[in-house]
Amino acid sequence: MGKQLELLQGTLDMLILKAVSLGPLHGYGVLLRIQQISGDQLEIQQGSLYPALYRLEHQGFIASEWGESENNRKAKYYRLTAAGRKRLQSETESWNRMATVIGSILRRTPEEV
Amino acid sequence: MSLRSRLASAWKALTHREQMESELETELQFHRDSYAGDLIRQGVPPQEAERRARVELGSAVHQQEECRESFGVRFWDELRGDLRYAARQLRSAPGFALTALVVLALGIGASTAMFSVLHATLFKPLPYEAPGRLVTLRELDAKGNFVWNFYADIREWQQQSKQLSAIGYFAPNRGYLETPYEVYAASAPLVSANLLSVLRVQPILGRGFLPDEQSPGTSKVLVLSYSLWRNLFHSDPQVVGKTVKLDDDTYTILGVMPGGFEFPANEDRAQVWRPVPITSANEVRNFSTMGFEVVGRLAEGATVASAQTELSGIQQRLAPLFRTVMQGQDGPSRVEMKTYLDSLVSNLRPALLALLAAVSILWLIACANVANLMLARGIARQRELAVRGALGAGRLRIVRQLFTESLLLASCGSALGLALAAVTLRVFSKGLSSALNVPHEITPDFTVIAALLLLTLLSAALFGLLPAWLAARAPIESSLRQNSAQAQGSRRRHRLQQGMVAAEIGLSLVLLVACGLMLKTLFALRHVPLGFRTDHVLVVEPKVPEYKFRNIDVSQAVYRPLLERVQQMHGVQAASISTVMPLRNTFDMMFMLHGSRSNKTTGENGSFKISAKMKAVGRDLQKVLGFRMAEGRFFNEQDTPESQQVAVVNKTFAKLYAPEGSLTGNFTLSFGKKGEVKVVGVIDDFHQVGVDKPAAPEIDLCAEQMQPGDGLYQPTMQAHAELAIRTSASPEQLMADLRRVMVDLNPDLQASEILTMDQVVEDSLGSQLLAAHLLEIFAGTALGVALAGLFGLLTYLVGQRTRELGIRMALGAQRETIVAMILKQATLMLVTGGLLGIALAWFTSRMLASFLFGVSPHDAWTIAAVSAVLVTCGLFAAYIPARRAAQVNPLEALRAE
Repeated sequence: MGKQLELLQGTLDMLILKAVSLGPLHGYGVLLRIQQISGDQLEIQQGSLYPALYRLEHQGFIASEWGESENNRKAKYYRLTAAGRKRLQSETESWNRMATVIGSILRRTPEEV
Repeated sequence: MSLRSRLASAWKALTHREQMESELETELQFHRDSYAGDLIRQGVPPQEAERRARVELGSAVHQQEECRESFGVRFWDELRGDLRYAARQLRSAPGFALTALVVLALGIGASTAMFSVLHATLFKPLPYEAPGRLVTLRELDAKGNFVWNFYADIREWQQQSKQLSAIGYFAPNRGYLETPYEVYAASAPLVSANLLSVLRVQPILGRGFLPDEQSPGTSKVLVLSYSLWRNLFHSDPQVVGKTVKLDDDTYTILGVMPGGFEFPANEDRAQVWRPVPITSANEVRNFSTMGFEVVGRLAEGATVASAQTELSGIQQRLAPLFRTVMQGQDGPSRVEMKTYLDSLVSNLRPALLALLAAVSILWLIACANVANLMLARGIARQRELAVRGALGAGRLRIVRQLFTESLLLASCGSALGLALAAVTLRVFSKGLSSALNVPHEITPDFTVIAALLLLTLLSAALFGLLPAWLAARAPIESSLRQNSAQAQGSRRRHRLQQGMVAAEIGLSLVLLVACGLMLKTLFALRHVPLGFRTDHVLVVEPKVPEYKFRNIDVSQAVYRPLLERVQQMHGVQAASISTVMPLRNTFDMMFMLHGSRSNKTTGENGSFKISAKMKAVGRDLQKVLGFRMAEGRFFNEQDTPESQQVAVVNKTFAKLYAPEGSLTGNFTLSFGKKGEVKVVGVIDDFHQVGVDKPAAPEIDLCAEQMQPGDGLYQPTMQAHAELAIRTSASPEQLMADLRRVMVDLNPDLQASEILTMDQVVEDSLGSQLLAAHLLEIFAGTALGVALAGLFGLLTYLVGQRTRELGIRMALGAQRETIVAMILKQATLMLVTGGLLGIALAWFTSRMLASFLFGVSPHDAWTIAAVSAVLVTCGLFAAYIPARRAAQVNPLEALRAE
């Protein structure tokens, strides 16, 4: 594995929401999907995954139910709720704005100031 | 993020903890297995793959903690942990836990009992709208004597007053309510038609009274109380319009009042209300007119003072109207007003507030004591706390944990205290309800339990926070480096502990002084020369079921035959009837009349007003009670119904109404059908009202002369009667015989009361006795708790100083020196506390002034005596640890190092 990026603080929740927005997933599936989408560039602390899932469920952004995994084992599946969809949208927007602003600040050269 | 989903998941986390944990475990297991599977597929050896899966995910316990924190239930988890830990801590130190619990239970129990009493009396919620705006008032004459409220005056107030928005009036009354099955003794006050609207309470069924229902000749109507409606009419919804018999008259039921409504508010019987008929006779202003009690509602912006001023002004103008009908006497010229609640409880206020103060002191002592215990324990646990701190517990977290411990203690203490309060109230219920004039049994109710909760929190804060804070502030490092056995509390902390013990001692001295003053009062009261003999005297109050005898002259049918039978009994030297026996305030008949004084030597005639207690007494009463005559004679065999009606008066009466000297023989009173009553003797005063009160003017009529139909027969002979019996042997021996004879003679006398006169005297000390007993308990408890505090602290300090004491002794200190050193420390606390207590007692014992008799609130002897008791007990409590200190074996103490 090449050098991976550390996840920025506070972005895990947003990534989880994005991951389950593409279809219901179990906890391990969430981890896999994020890694897959990022092209294995992001390193996610596995230990912080479940607290985040529980927190999001507690807040009502995702809901869970027990189902069967691809290898016929009992697994807990998470899916996005309506509230979660709204949340994901607003998070995405503010992230994009933030990225633009930060990016433009970082691109400035001394002459431009 | 809806609140609902949050609450739902938090609730689930708290209540289905096990299920959640197992679900999380399943989920994590699935994660680990899948991850390990993937790793194996990438070529990692299976064992290594499983290890890596475990490591990357972290421990299950940690995951659980994190997940639960994200649910916001970690606080509760920690609380649970703290509680479990606290319970373990308390179990591991049973001596400490038990002491703290008992002390707290005492403090909180006493406070709860006292709050219950206050709630039932001073802060009683009256069942009317805005009860605080209700006032009651009475008319006073120029001398300040309470007269009477006349209908004619009330009507003027109603018309003229602007400060009172409404004025109602009533006269308490009783009646027998008849249903086909039973006869019910009910309170049946006669009320003005507007009374319910003054109280602003409307019937839940039917209607209240109309003004013209007060005019004579209209059909008789009444309103039922809720309890009567429920019990007698089985909550019949059609009850309105039905008829019911009350004292042989037929009444139509107009309505039913809501549950909980009672008026007057201190009445314990089931109630009905009926309109008072107003005739032209009510318009007359003289003393044969019916008097009323008045309830008014203050108008917007009015105060008791402003309304009193206004009504007094109106009454001033009305006073001259009395002259014509009252033979030139002045009528009432002003009014005195109080809020209605005040009128019910004002006489109790000083007593209750004094007791409340006593209880608060006890509570403070208890808190100080438990705080000291906690402090001492906190020091002993310093090392443990330091270890926790070193392992990463935050300071706040440690304070919280210690606070949870004190909260647990306080809660257990409160539960015990509540039980204690319930028991105390039950034990004292008789004394309390008679002393407080509270009809119902007092039990702790919801408000009181709420107050208790508050008290618990407050106690926990008071005795828990300070030690917790001190413990958390202690530097971790030095505590860790020290051995816990020799961990020395700082000097400052010792001073704090000693200060608290001194404060406890001071506060308990305040209660001891109060108790001492009360005991001295009781002693003084018991040694007042009463003026009559109490030995070998029995008092009988014949009681018959009222409803059976309501149309029968009980005096002729019951009392007279009973007296005759008792006089023949073996062992009875003399027996006599008396309307009411001295010191028995079971019945009171005040007698007011216009006396005519004829002075035979000067031929002068004058008239004057007399107000005195009136009794009918038998001619043998003097033989029973052995009082002395100051002048003239007592009744004898010559006084028969046919002879000149005679009376005797007491010395106070003679001084008040015949100040010019001898009145025997030339003093007659004109009243009743027979015309004149001649005063034939003057009795030496004796205490007939109370041991602590001087004799009231009294006039006694001769019972043997009184006949049914006499004007004064009804209010004296028929209304109430007691028997006085002089026995030859000890009165207790005769009691059983007497009861048998009475029941043989008339089975209806079953419920009669038989007492010795000594018992009557003791009972008459009621309020002082109750106060003294309560204070004995409070002061005893306080002393015990304070001494336990002193003892505990010294024992602890000696334990801490074992090594130092060992060194001292090894260097040659004598055992006596060591004992003296510890006792000196105790004396310092005792003296500081004692001085503090005396200073406090100086101010607080004034609250007791109204209870004291024959002793000043600042009685130096009492203060000296209780201080001596305190110091003696204190030194005794200190001697035990002091001796233990002296017995320290220097070798062992040093080797223990």
